[in-house]
Formats: sequence, C-alpha cells, structure tokens
Amino acid sequence: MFDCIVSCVYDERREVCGVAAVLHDVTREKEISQIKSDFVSHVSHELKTPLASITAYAEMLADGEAGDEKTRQQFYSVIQNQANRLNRLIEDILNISRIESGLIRVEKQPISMTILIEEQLRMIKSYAADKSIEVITQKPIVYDQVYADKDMISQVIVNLLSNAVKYTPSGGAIKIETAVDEIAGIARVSITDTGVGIPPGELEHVFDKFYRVDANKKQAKGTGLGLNLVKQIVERVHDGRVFVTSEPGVGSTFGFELPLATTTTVEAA
Amino acid sequence: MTGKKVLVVDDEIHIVHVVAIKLRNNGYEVISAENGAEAFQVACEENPDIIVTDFQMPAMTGLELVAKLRECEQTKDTPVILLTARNFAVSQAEQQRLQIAGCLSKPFSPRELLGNIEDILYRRAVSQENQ
Repeated sequence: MFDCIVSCVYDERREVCGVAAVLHDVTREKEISQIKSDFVSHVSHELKTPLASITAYAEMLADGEAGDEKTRQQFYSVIQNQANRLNRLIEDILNISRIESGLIRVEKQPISMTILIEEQLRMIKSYAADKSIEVITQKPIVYDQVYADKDMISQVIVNLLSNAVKYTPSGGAIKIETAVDEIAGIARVSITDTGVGIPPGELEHVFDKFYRVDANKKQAKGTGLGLNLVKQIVERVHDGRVFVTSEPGVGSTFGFELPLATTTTVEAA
Repeated sequence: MTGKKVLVVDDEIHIVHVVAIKLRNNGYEVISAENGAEAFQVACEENPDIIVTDFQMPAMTGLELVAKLRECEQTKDTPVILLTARNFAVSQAEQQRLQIAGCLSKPFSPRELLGNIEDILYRRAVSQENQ
C-alpha cells in the first residue's frame, strides 16, 4: 500500500514541463495501525465485560431489587469478584505493555529454578488440595541456576501452575519436572496436568493475547492474558522459549526453557 | 406485559442472572441460554416473546444467532435486543436487515433494558391489534 504525492514540475518560464510523483510505502504503518486498533477494541471489550456486571448489580442494589439479605450478599460478592477481575486484567495489560515497550525494570540474578518452584508450589498447594489434585514433584536437581528476574519468573510459574489446577478436574494430578541440558545451556521446566486438554487446531493460539479455548471457557474464568504474559516474560525478557503439547481429554504439558546462568552472564551483571 | 416470556442469552452467567432477576421481579418469565447454538434450540422449543442476546459469544455471535433465527419460520419475527460491549459493532443497515429491535451498549442499565423490552412488546401488541 502506497501514499502518493503528485506535483507539477515547472521550467524557468513557469510552464509545466513534467510531473513528479513520490510514492511512500505505508503497508507496515497501516498494519501496525490495524493491530493497535484491534487491540484497543479487544481491550475495551474485555474491560467492559466485568464493568457491565459491576454497574448492573450496583444499580439493582440501589433500586432495591435484591429481595432479601442473602441475595444482597450475593450481589455484593459479584461486584467484588468482578472488580478483582477488572484489576487483574488491568495489571496484566500494564505488565504486557511495559514489557513490549521495554519500560519494565528487569533485575536479573542467578536463581535456582527448583527453589523458585518450591516457593510457588507452597502457594498453589492448598488450591490443588481443595480440588483433591495430587501435586507430583521430582527430587531436586543439583545445579539448575538461571540468570533471571526472580519476581517475573515466579509470575510465570504461578500462572502455569494455577492454569494446571484450574483446568484439571477433581481427583487429577499435576506433575512438575525440571531438567537441565548442559550442552545446550538451558534449564527446562515442564508442568503436566491430567486436565481437559486443548484441541489441536487451537494449540498454536494459546499464547496469543486474549485467546481462550472455546471448549474450556466453562471450566474456569480467565483474562486470556496469563499465557501471553508467560510468553512475553520468557521469550522477550529472558531470551527463553515457551512450549505446549496437549491431548484433549488426557491433559496438557506447558513449559519453558531459560538459559542457564554461566560464569560469564553473572560476571557481566 | 406481565407473563411474557424472555430468552436471555449471554456466556457471562452474572449478566444472565442480573437480567433474569430484574425481569422476574417485574413479572416476566425468563429462560436462558449461554451460547448461540443453545439459544437457537431453546428459542425454537420455547417460542419466547422477545430475546435479549449478547453480541460477542464463542462459536456463534449474537448477530449470527439473529440471522439464524430470521431463517426459521417459528422465530423469524421474534424481536431481539442486542447487548454489545463494542460500540458501533452493528451498523444501522445491519440492524434493519436483521430486524433487530434494539441495541444496548455494555455496561448497560437493567432498568433501561426493562424499559426497552416493555416498549418493544407494547408496540408489537398495538401493531398486532391493528392488523
């Protein structure tokens, strides 16, 4: 796609002696503009959805439409939950935007993946126990230090673990594995669940912004941003790689690889 | 308009609940569906007097649902109100083509929705009396 500016060329007698045309390739600009416009439209829809519940329930309370105390408490609870959902959405959007614009403050340090996983597992274990989901971990690996931002990688692990619990039916299991490939210089974390799984055609989109697997929406609530945040943190901030495999009805494995901390990377800091 | 049957369609269960409570409190019978395919089936079986549907739903959008309803003899004239979180998502021409009776932007007021339903059903009753 081109923008075209056409002008007449005059000679010394101020008579038209030719025409000059300047073509400016604006294909990329138009594409970026479309992407921005789609994003804004999508974000506004996602923000308006919880907002719609908040305003509707608040109006119902103000109009005295909640007949008894129990109903009133239900309405308050919906408002509170939807406000929390709105807050999570805004936080996720801001974090993704900060990463994409390079404005986020990254504080990398050598950290052990095993220790980090253990810390996050403590937070998720009661949630898993509520659903009678068994959490299987392996023996610690001796050296699995990566050079990474602790808070950000903690967020990655929490997002993957909580997704695994969310989409695994009661009585299922989640297995967390860490592996080190010293030749390739990477640490790999895999989280395998016995959950509902993802249809093959949708697998390539699960890390996209706002993408939610249609068949699994009933299973759990989500912003559709958690996995995109995982991808941004792992790939954009840490030069790592995310991966996913899945079989519907059997389960999914989500994971990521990060470069191992080497003496050089640590000294360079 | 007491006793009229309203089909409420939204994949957000909280929205279905709040609309259902508002309408029931005001004498309406409410049935619900959480996606377009289910809504079409319910509409054919239950023959509602009016349908309130979300615009953006998985698998089948509200607009696709209306198009399908218009092709079916039983539901071709059933009035539909669209709830949409995307402003200008449905053009005037599209609304006319699919005979969409009303469009409300989310966040919406249940009070305003009730007013719209009452207005549409009243106008419909008057027009049927005059025929």
